[in-house]
Amino acid sequence: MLRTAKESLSQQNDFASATSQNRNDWIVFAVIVSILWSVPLSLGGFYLYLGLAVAIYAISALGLQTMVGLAGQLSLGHAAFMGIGAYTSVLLQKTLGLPFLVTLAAAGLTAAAAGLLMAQLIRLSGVYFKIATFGFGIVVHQILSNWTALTGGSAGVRGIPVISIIGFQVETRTGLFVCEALTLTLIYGLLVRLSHGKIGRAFRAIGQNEAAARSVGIPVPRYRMIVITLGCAIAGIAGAYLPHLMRFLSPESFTWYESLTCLIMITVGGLGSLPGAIIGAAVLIVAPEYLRDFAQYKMLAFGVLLVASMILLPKGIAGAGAALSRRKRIHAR
Amino acid sequence: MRSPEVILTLREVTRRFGGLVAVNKLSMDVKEASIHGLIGPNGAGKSTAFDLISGLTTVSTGEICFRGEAITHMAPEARVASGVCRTFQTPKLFDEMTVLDVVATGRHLHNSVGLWGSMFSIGRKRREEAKTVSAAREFLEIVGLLAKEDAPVADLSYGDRRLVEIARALATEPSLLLLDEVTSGLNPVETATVGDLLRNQVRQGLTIVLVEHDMKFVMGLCERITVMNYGSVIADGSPDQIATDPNVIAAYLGSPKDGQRSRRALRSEQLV
Repeated sequence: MLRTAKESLSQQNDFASATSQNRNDWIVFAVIVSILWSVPLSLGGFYLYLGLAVAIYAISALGLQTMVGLAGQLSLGHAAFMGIGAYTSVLLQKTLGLPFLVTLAAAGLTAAAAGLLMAQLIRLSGVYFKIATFGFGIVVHQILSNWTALTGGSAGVRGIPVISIIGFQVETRTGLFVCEALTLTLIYGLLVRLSHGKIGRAFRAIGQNEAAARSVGIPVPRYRMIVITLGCAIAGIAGAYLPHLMRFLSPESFTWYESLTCLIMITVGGLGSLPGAIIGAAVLIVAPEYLRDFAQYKMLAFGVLLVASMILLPKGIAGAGAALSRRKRIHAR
Repeated sequence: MRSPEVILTLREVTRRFGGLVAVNKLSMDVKEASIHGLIGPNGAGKSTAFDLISGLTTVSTGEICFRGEAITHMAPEARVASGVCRTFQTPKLFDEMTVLDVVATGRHLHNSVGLWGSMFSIGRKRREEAKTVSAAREFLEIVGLLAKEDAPVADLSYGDRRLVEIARALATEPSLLLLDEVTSGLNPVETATVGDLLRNQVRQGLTIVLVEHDMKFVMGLCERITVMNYGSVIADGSPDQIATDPNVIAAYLGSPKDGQRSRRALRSEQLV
């Protein structure tokens, strides 16, 4: 009797703590989203510009985090998929005059198709796949630079059309920011949902031990393909916004430096953490803007930041935050 | 004719790695609801045999039948779906998960939510997730680790990691469970617990194949034992037959010439 009573009590406690992780994720979601919406919109001006850039890279980093941090599929060519999305969207707007919502979806789909193509490389195992993703990124950059008839080559694309959504012209930065922030909020929310429950667990299982994941019946090759495609599609959607921020589109926004920067974002923010991806994007976009005098040392600074964060905060800023709040809770008891 | 209660049959299964023949024409029959031992000295090909049955390695030649159907070329996940599950020589868990989450991964094929459902469905996802969690708890209870369900698996002792791995494998609801050196690293008490647990599962209809070094454990538990050496079967029979088989003694303890030493070593291995 006593034993069963104890057990049921412990079960209740356990149930509470099993779901509390999910609840924490949604609390963090609410905090991040409200900061993200309120700061750029209330401060305006330069902060709004920063918000626009942060939102784009945050979306892209969320895609990379899902692939790399969650499911352990390292990609060294993430910026290429932003490029594919950016060119798809702008070229469809310019040549066919399609509305932005359509070209945004097309950007995601084209990047997904390219991601699916790259995912075929997972037949290569381990380090070979990682090197192949690097090669894939370089090939895409070369195509964007050299297929002059389609992309305008290294001269880039000028005259980026204004975004129009259901007849409503988005001419101001505020309008553009609202579009970006909505997209980011939606994608972030869906990924939080995805990371909870069966599919998220399966992705994490694959990332942490592939053989063990196969041994319990998770269809590893298919899931790897799905997560790579998903991550690339999200990069494509992020990329579709980039030309509207820069008012110009050039292949140089999608070099392997940019792919590396995306990787540093999710590492500094915290590998495996969705809010970490957003925080990392914010740090790596905002910091250089205040250190413009040292622009030529940007990659050096990023390198140092990466090494420092791996030594000091191995689980990134998000991981450190989580540890801090845990400690506080224990002290509060 | 194949006897109806044979659940797993290997017919002349061979696996070559380059010039090395890791498993050479391995044939064995495993009876349903029994414990079958697969033993042999280090490097005999036992773990490779498990990789072949579970599908993590492909067969070079030969055939593997499970419940009368050839599964020789099935993907590992399809084999799990049809009821074959395994554990590993050193427990392979998911080191950043909690105990409950690790066992819940074993329920993957029993949860009907897909990629879209995981993002867009509300009620069904919650119901399926509740079923997954309560089933995972049942299997944790079977191995006696329910109290530690929230612990990160990285914090567990080696013995507990083994038990979590067993619970995860049982959670797939297999009809054939392949256990690779399930007692290595366990203390005698834990070993006895695992033995009782396995006997209990077999009584409920589970079939188990054990790769094992603890001879006392194997001899006490198995109905039938297959002995491998250098990739080939050198003996197959009941524990008593195996314990007195000269080939087995030679394989384990060196050439029969130094009979004196062999017998002493044999005693220390608790074969006799």
